[in-house]
Amino acid sequence: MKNREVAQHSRNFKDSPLYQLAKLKLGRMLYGANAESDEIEAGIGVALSLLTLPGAFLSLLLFNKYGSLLRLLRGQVRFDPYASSLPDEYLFIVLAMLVSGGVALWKWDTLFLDRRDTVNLVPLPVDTRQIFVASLLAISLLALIFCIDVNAASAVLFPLVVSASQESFLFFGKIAAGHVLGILAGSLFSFAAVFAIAGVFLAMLPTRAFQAISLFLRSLIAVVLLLLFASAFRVSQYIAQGAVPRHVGLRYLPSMWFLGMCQWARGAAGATLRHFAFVGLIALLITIAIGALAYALAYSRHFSRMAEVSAERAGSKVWRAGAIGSRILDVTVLRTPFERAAFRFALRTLLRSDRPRMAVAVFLAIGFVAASQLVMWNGIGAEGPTTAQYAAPLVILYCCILGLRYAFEAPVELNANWIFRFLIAPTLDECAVLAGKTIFLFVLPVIVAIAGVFVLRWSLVAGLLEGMVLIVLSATLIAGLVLTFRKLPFTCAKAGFQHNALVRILLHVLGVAGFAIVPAGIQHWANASAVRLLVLVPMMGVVWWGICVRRAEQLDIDRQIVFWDRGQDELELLNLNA
Amino acid sequence: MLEVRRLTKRYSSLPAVQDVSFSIAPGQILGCLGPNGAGKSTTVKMLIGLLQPSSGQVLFNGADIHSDLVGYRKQLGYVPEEPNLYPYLSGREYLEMVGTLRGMERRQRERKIADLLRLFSLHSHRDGSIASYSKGMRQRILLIAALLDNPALLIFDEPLSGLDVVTALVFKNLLRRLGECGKAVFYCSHVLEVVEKVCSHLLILRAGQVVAYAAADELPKVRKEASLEETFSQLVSEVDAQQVSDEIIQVVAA
Repeated sequence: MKNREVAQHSRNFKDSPLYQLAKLKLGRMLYGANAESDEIEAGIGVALSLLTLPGAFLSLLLFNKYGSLLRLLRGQVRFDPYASSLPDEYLFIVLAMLVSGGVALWKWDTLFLDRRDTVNLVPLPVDTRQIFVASLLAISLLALIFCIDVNAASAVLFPLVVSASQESFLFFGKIAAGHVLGILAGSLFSFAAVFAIAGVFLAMLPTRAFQAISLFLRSLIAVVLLLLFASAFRVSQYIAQGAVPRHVGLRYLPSMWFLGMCQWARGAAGATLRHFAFVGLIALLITIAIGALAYALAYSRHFSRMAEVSAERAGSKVWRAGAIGSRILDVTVLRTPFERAAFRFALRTLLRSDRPRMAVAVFLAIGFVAASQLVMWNGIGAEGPTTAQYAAPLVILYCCILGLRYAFEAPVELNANWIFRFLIAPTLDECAVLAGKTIFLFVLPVIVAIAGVFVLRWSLVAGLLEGMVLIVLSATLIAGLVLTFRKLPFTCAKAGFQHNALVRILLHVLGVAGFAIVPAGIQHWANASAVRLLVLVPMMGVVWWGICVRRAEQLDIDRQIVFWDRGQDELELLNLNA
Repeated sequence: MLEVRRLTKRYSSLPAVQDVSFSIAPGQILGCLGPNGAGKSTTVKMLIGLLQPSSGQVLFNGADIHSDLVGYRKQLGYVPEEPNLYPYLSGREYLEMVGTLRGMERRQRERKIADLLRLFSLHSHRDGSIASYSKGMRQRILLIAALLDNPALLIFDEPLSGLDVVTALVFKNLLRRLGECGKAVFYCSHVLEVVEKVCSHLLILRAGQVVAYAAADELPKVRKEASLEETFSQLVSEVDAQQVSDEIIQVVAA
């Protein structure tokens, strides 16, 4: 009888508008704002699995630190697990904040209701307040799903690793409670903060103005998150040394507040960390409240009036500035009609379409953060540039080139590119050549700007040499990256990097050494005499020879795929006139 | 049933629709014609309560629709111009959602969805994601969604776009039958032939204003013209169709 009642209640709940609307909104956020294909549907499962990995890996890597036998072998007789685990807790909190904030940035476009919702939901007999409540509920659920997903592995593994050598279950419970509270609070704060920032700007600005600054805002938040992550290792050193009270700046780091909450939950917090815990709790509540309030304001301002806003996007003004420049490019670089047409298509897509702009912005943000960390940790040279100062621009360029390469592989919306899908390149590698030229033309202004900084900071010769080295290295990297590119930029039906993403990430991390660290070392060595830079000539020669050989092999393979591996015709025509 | 009084909509002082008035009684099918930019879609958006009029009123059974929008929409079925559906849902899931949000009882909803999917030849595709549907299939889903709760008033904005010949024929007959069943229908279209054959009344808009509003069979007679096509050309056409087509051929051949 009771089971029947429960089933009836469950059916009634599922038939309620609130459930239906919340389910719809959650689906939209999980599957993407304008998902038009099954590939994105498959992507969400993969993404959820990948997001659990960082926490799991970090926990397992720490086993070495907490294992009792290993500690004994190292001669660590006295061991305070509360104090020793605090720097690691900080890393976990920062990691949770980085991933949750990243997820909120990823889902930025889907957090608010859009034109599709207006067209589908407004004509139905549903109160708009119900749509608002359901959307807020769905966003809270999304935040919860990702917070749990991001932290699930570490919530189990880390307390197990720390308490492996302890016999008390109470100890395990304390470590687990502190850990879970710290990372969940950090995750929620990070997600809510991004959501609140988006909501406040959407509530304050007209829709078009918000769309115009949206990318800039997201990039800025990404840089802040990456800086927080980059600083985590140094801050955890301060925590390990007990130097937190000495560094006043640390009290403004949200991650420190949640570390305070973690230690408070363990019952081991001192006065400073107790204060941090209190600040963290207040900050978390205020951020959530601001997010909800801003969402309500943005909803009442935009959703009801969405039908009146023109579909025209803010960034869709015709780009006319470079008319003379484009003619020069036509004469010098873009020699065939195919290249000219496709280059303009790629340029306008990159300037106007959100997805590729976001991809490049993320890579650039990583590049800037890595470069700033390099310079910050390795000092600034007064006489001549240091190795770090040579490496920093190379790291930025490396990320910029990779970002463009991957942006080219991500398809833009079908209505933007259908005509180019019909276009067939005259030769097999013309697309690769075009992609290479396009990337090079995009990074050229960056190279000029970097060379300019070198001229201003050191000398004209230093600037010219830097510019020359950057051009040679960029051209080499680009040639290597576009070897297998056989489509027009932005018109690939499916992004190829989805199949071997992990291997590619690993290769790209290793690639930093080849592209930035080694050449920067040589440049620094050549500070004494510029002639030493000639060492780069044979090195580049070998790399280019390898690229040429690989290119010839790839063309042979592609010719076989295109012309030899052709199946039998399925359709035969009857010649009735014969 | 539906009465529109001096409806006006301005976008930053530019009028998109100006002083539009008409009414639809039960059993009437009012065809709305006009060139691009005539204000048809803006009128439709105001009829469904998606846009607030700058001035004027839309009355349903004598009451302003904005006094009880939820109640009004319970009586309304609407097919938009663009089938902008949620691509990750299946056709059946979308209809289930619409039926639930319309407050339909579960059994009745499920039975109706199954029957309508079969009748609109979508039964075999019911569990495929809408992302895999053609434009015509999406349009059929929207038609089912509009008819599902047996509304008293139906508003169609270009419902034939993307429909195949067979479904278009079914739809034309369906439209006629809906009128016979006492439904009030507002039908926006560019296809003169369908409007001429199916609609009982005609409303012709040009630059946001009503240029003709009469019973369908009376309009050409009043205008002393042979057909609706001629009437339409005389009322709204600003260019000579023959001359423009000749010029296009010249440009293409050049």
